[in-house]
Amino acid sequence: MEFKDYYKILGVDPDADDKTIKTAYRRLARKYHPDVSKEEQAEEKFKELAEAYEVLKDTDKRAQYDMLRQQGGAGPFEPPPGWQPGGSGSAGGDFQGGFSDFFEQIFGQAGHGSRQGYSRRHFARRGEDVELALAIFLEDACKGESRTISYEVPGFDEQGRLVRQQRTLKVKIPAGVIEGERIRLKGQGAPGIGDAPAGDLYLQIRFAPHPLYLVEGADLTVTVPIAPWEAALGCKLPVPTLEGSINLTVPANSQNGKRMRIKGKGLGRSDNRGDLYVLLRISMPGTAGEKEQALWRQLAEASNYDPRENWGRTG
Amino acid sequence: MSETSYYLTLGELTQSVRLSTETVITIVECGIVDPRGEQPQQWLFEPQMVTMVQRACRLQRDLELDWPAVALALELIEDLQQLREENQRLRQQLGTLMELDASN
Repeated sequence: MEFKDYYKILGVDPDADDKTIKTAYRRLARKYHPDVSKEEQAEEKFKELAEAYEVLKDTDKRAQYDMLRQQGGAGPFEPPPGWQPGGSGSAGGDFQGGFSDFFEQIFGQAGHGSRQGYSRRHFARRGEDVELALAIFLEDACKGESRTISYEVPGFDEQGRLVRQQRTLKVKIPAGVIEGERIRLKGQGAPGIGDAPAGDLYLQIRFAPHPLYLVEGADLTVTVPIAPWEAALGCKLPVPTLEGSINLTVPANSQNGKRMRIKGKGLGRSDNRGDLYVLLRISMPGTAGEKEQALWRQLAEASNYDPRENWGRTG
Repeated sequence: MSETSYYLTLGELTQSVRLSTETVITIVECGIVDPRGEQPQQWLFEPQMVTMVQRACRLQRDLELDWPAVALALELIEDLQQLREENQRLRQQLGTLMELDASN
């Protein structure tokens, strides 16, 4: 095990006073906190910071740490013979994993990790909630599909040791779920300890990318290419919806990028369904034959349209 | 088949996030989450609010903030997230409008 230099992690001198340590922690915590940071490996960095601060802000822990630091310093670390981990290892952050082995060697495991010491008859604690991401297709979100999911929960065997338990569950996904929505399955999380209830299972809905639709909350957008003459003359446009194709009337003289709304053909629940937006993209034919060329030319002569009439003028 | 249950009561939420009732009431008073119902006994929390409350607690504890500051931070994070998502969507939309022109 590597010796962790908590002073270096916080970027302070070993003789720094409490205020300096606090300031250094706050500054770095703001930078690397996983809830606000976009830095790489923010979570790991923050865990190190939190651990360093947990030790250095506490006079007793800091004194213990300083003693070991003076004896061993950098490099591989073994607690000295006869070292008794102190019982004051509190907190521990609720990000995955808690503090490092190094920390637990010095300060013990109280407050996080092993629950082996607890008698199950005298100790009750509600089971942990478990969260899973569930990728589904847009089509399934609309219909409300049943899915069988497998996941692991932390549990305890007969000796009270921590083990991973495999679970399989058939879940009915409610019709009309949207991206990011959380589905709660009460009591399907980790089992409770003693008489305490089990935790809950949360399924966070994620949509698999769809080749046609862009999703914005409960609204969908589909971009449909049309020919210049369809835009000019108007047309009946077959538009794919999640429940089959419908015909949309495109008015004459439609512009490129025109957005048309089909009410209630998006996602969401029946009383509050989103809309489907159709975005028209005028697509030029790649090559024009002689006859087509002639027609374009005829059009060019007949039309007095100047697309650059107001172009480049401000106001 | 497993039944989904939507809302959490105040008791269920405090158990789930391991917080005292007082702390959750403070969090609600600061507007960090807005449950249905008037009185705490009638409050109903959406599953998304569990994540919000957990996040709020982490920020409060780890950054040593007071609750109004947590509320402000979360609001700004939320706004930023929405702008990022909107930006991404607009880029995608722009992409679908331009793609043919680019390939010609």
